Amino acid sequence: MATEIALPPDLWDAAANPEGIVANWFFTEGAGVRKGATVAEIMVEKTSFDIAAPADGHLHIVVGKDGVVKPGAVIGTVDGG
Amino acid sequence: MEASPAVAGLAAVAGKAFPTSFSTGVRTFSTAQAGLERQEWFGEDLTPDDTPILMAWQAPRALIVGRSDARLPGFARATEELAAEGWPVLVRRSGGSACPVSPGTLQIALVRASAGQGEIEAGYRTLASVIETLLSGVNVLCEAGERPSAFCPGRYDLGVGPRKFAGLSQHWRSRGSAIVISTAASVIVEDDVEELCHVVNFFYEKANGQRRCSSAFVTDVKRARSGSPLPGGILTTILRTRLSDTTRKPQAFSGAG
Repeated sequence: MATEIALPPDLWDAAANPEGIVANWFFTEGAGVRKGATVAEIMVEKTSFDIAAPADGHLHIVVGKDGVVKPGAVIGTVDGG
Repeated sequence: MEASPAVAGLAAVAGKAFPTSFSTGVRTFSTAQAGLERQEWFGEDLTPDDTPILMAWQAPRALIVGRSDARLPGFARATEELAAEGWPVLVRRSGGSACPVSPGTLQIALVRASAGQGEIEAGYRTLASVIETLLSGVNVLCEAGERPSAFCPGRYDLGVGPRKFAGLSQHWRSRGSAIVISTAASVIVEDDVEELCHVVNFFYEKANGQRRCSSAFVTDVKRARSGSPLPGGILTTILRTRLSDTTRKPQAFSGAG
């Protein structure tokens, strides 16, 4: 079962800064990740947000590096175990 | 290269700020690595009910780059060559691109914990106001706005006219249900800005990165200051003293509120 890596809908004020970018993925597609590990970095206005894996499993990237995102976006999934 | 026409006084970015308190004085570290590590894990025990705290530090030379910079194809080569020139390269967690640290710069960080929606602007406004208050005491007027041809440009660049002397960035990390927010500034107090820009350009050239900066859009606080000239090193001492004195007690920075 896949668990979504979703940006919190209130991560930043979209009215002030409508979009951010996926600045980094710290694991490659299919890599094993542990719950809580920082898997991605989102950048908005020189502000870097660490995004953690929501579960143990294998990472699948939905929005690649430099992809544009909004709060609440699903940027990847983690397939269980 | 041209400066942004959007350079404006701090009033243009004013809004809600919050009171801060201080804990550590201005520390001098033997390496920038030690200072950066201290800054990045400072305030780890803060809760959303706590007053935000400030720390300030100085350290020997280093080039502090963003995490994306560390993935440039020539990063290892750039790091090796700059280290040989006396500029170790460090990777920071906060946003933005390469920024030099030196004994002529002051690093100031504001750390707080939040339970609710992230508001990017509040941290920037508050720290910009701290710096504005600090520098107004030495006859320097801060103007906020991006200087796109300076190094590590951003909307909360601080400077005079087209020239930047300070830049701000942030790092947010989750800790349980709270978010720990670190807003950091690097202020060029008195240094050779030509050399600082050369180091940044050298890094991107060797790392095969696209970014470049121009010293025509960078200055230091000493040059931005009006009034009679001060001997070398005095301005840094004055700012360190002012920073320690004004932040030992809780402050409400009404200038940004």
